Amino acid sequence: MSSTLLEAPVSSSTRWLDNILLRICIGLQLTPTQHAMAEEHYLAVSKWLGRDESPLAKFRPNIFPQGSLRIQTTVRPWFREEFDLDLVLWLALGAADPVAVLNMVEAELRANGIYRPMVERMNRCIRLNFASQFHMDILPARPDVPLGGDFLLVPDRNLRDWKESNPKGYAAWFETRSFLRAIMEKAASVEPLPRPQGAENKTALQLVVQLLKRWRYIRFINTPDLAPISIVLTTLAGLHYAGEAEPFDALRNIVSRINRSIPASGRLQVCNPAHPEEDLSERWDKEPAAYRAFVETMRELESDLIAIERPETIATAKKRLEKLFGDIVERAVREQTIEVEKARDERKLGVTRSGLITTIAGAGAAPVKPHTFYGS
Amino acid sequence: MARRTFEQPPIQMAQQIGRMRMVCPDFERTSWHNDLVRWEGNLQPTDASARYRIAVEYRLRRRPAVTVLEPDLKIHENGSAIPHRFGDGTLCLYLTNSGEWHPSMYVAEAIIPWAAHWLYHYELWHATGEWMGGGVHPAVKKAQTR
Repeated sequence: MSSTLLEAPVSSSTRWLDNILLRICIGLQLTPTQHAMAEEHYLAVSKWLGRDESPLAKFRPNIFPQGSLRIQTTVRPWFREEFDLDLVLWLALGAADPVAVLNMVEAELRANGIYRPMVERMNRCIRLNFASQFHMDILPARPDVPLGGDFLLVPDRNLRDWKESNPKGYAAWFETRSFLRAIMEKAASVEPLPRPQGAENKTALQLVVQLLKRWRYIRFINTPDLAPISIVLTTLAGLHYAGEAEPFDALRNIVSRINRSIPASGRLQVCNPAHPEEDLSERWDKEPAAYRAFVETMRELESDLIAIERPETIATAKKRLEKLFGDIVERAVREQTIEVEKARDERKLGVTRSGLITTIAGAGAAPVKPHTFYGS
Repeated sequence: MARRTFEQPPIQMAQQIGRMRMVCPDFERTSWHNDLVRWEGNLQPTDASARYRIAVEYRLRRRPAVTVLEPDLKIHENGSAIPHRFGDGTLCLYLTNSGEWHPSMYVAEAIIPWAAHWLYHYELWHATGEWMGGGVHPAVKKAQTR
């Protein structure tokens, strides 16, 4: 995906816990194949809408990713297998009827034999349902001329009006927040556990956002109406991130800082960093039960995280992680073990002085010589 | 791996003790009488794991015996017995008579890492219900797939 995120220093996952968290996140996001496929599809859509014969061509259409796709925090969505991929269709439009713009985009997509059966009309976008793996929400947008910069206006079919938006500004803010960790980067002397594939560009903040979204899914599985919305969690994580290098520290500290920022009376207000007048958490005014659930579950999450950090055994840590993130933990633990055994076969497994299993034998770690566990 | 022959002389006890002091300085020698030595030390296979106190007893040319002193090893919550242990509770770390272990090797360099690796898989066995470290069961006489 043509991401705006530059090469950021990645988590070195020096702890068992961090390594498992990294694997959980990799297991939740788009695979590299799905990612490549999504990119292929969105370039094709972009080409179709921008072709010379298209009535949209004169508006110089430009498609770019927004939301979790842009900031690389995708997670498998609720109750189904497909990913939501959010794309902005930028059009050089002045004042226009929002519904007419939505209809124009829809008509153009239906004019293509491939897209016709996939088209679904939504309130703020046109959805393309690609066979089972994901759907693409194409959100038309026009520049918000008075505000300038990357500010956009997006249509709302029900309100028959335009709403303010700034997806690029939000992503730029998130990117800036992520980069704080570069300052705190520490050099690991021993790489203890094998790094999973697909973790190359993950920053601690991106991992925290994915973990919070997964936690929300598990915690609110029976009460989805009370769950905090994704952008509120993402924004809170970004606001309270202080450059922790590893996902567990980052998650625990962010959650504890969020809890300390909750006012004793009234409610926490979460504003859009790219649009400070916009209260992303306004829903809590109308739904006090959802706000109460947020406050209670964040406190609960903090004490669960404190418990996870106390080392007992891998089995205990796994059970505690499963409470927060569900059965995906089992897969992460098994996958890590399989890779440890692979390292052993390749004679890359080592043991440090205190007995810690590492994947690089050598400096500070004695290699595990070939052996076969024997006996019943 | 190449089978070791008996031409290779065993490492003498004083050398075993010296190597342990160098490689595993936290292991304490609790006794030494001629050709019998005993060490105690702690191993923590991952940072999420318990710290195990183990004893290693080695009589020259014999099987080094590794015992977990604390915490007590437990059977699985599903009731199954702890895999890969001898009848006396010591850990089965290598295939007997395979050459994986030979008195020409250092206890500090082979047995201690194997014990840490055993403890890692012991915890994972509790976590997953499956021994994922491979190995051979004498009753089955067949290598498990890793």
